[in-house]
Amino acid sequence: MNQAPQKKKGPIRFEAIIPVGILCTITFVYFSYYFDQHLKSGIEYVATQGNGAEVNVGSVHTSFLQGSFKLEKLEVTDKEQPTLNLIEIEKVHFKYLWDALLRFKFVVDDASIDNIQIGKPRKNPGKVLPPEPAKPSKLTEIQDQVLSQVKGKYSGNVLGDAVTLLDGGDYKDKIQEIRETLKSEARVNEMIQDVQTKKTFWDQKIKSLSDTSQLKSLEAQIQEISKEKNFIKQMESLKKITEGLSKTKKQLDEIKDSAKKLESEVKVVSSYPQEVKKLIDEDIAALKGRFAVPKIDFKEMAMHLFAGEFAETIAKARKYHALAKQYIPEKKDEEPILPPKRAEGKTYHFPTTKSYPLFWLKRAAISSKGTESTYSGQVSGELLNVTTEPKLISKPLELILKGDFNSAELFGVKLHLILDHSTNSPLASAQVAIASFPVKNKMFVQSDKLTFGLEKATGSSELKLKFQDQILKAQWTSSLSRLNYKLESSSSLAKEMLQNILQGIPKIQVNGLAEGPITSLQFDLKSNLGDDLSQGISREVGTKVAEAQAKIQSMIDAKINKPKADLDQLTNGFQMNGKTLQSLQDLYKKNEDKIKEEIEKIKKGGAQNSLDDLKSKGKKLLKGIKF
Amino acid sequence: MSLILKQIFAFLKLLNSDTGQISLSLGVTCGFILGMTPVLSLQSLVVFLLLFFFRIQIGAAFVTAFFFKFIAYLLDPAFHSIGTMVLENKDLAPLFTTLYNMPIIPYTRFNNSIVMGSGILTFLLSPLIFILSYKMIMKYREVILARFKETKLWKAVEATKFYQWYYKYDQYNWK
Repeated sequence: MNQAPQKKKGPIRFEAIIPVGILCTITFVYFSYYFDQHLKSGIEYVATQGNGAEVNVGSVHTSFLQGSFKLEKLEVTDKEQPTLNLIEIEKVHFKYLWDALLRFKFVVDDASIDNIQIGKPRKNPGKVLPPEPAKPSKLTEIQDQVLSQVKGKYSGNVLGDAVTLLDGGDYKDKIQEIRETLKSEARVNEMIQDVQTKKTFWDQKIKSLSDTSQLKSLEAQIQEISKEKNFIKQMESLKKITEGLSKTKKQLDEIKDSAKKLESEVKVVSSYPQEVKKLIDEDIAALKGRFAVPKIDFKEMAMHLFAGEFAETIAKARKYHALAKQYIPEKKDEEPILPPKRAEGKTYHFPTTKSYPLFWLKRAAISSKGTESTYSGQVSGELLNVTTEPKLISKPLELILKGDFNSAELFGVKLHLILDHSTNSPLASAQVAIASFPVKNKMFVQSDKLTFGLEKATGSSELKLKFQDQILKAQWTSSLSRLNYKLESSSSLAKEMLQNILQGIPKIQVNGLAEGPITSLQFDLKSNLGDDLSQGISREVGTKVAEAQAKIQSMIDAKINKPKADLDQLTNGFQMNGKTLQSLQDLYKKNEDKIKEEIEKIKKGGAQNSLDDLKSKGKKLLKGIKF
Repeated sequence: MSLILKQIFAFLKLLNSDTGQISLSLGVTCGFILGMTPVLSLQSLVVFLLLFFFRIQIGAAFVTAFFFKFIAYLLDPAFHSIGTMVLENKDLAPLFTTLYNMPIIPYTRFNNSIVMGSGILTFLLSPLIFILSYKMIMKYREVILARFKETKLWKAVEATKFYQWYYKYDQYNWK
């Protein structure tokens, strides 16, 4: 074997450079010819999964050297109607700043979104993905926070209830049929029995305590003893009186105890009438509920008619706000600077004169030019400052749109959306206005008794929303003109009456305000429709409601008044026992004091008398002796 | 892993041969830079690219980098002091502010005290390391290797059939 001569190698490692060169060429070829296609497929797949129905992308062009991204013909299938596109965008174009790309940041200086079309028919129906198994959605929960506040509380059925009353109803007969014992009635009877038992007991007790014979005999003994001249006899009698007095005192103590017990029982019995009144009210409420006597608040007619719609609009806005929040993070407080571990050294930060957030779309022009025959709207507007770090750029995200959608008959559409997460107190606000839109088959009330709404009308509406520090403020102004009402009712009286009222309402104006924490919004809705309907109906229906309520009241009165009066009488009688016992107590107390006084007087008087007696006897003896 | 082992074996072989002093010395210098730099940064990446595209002994770089990592750990406080002194120098603040706001440059992590301190030291010491390693390799070959080749043990190994076979095998250019 011949030995191959060792070839001297140069300073460059060609055996490494060549494979790297090949790899770079392959990468270049891939990004030049295949990457766009793969990116297009990726966008289609991800968007389809997100939308739940087919999303198509015409083409995608990217350029590494120019830092640009261009997407053409984006078609998003409407999940509900797969033959239509929910939205179709002719062209989306972004151009990134190289200066930012070198910092691994994506800043779009200027972008354009052209020719937006809504509800345009597709060439082929889009594929709809099978629905996912139902699971509680966070978004549904967010919407329910608002909807639950008006659900059940306000409904268009208020007019249906009114018609039921106008119809006459059969509640009158039903009320007459009540034979069962009322809750209040049963309790009154229990109370009467209780008061009667107590009264009997206390009558007897007072009778026995009212025996003053011992007191009287004691008084007689005192009278007698005060006349007694013999001191020894007087003292003997006093001893007996003192014993009698202690017995009387015992009797007084018994009276006092009894008075206390009676007082507490009187207190309990005195609360009976109040309890009865409360039970009567409860019985009335229960009966009204059973016979469906509607509690119609005509003052809130506008709320009943429009609150549901208003709440739905706010709920939708909340949903989109929650969705937007996922992509536009709120400002976080500065993280505390912790002392770094020794081996990591200290990292210095110099003033930032030029820096970019990770993603920043500075401005995107939105435009769409449509004609009468197409599904495009005449839309123009701009999207400003979409970024991952709003705090860094200190500017709010803004979407400003103006346009007309001829095919949908939407004219003068204005949208101004602001999401400001650049401060400590994030703000979300939206202003949506439509100068003219068609209203078709908008029903306010739909029940067996009444169908009432608008078959056709022209509307204009403006909604202003502001959400800051967990407080939402929503203002809604809407106006409906060229009204074509739809009115059907089982009650001819109701129909005639409503027709008369509606003839005088050529225009419906609704002004709404909802304010407060999102979980407890304060709704206030005013509408001339509500006011006029209220005034007209409340005259008729108000009388009927009052009639029904009076009927129930009188029925209850008839059942309860007699036992209630009996109870009152008994209670009064029972309270008299207390007074009797008190006067007895006063009598004993007065006499006890008097007896004690007399005893003291006798004691003092008796001693003085015997001393004087002894003195006079001594004098007589000395006179007889005469020295 | 096998590539690294291959490079280390190549380093040992080259060290014990009569050629490649410059390649070895450059490898040691690059290893010194890699070993002293605390984390993967833009300058480390540049050194890797140099190793990859130029005929610098990669094995020598890896072995030296491993060795200098231990020394760098002990020198961290010194690096920190030097880095802090430089970064806190008010006269240099405008320069650092400009660099901080330039594209790409911040990926060098120059604003970290240890990166700055070790960077300055390695920049200043790398020519010295190159010269020193060159001289040490030459000295090693002249003194230690020559003496080893004169030992009876080596002569006995050289006389074996296996060694002769391996020597012939190694003479061919298989690459």
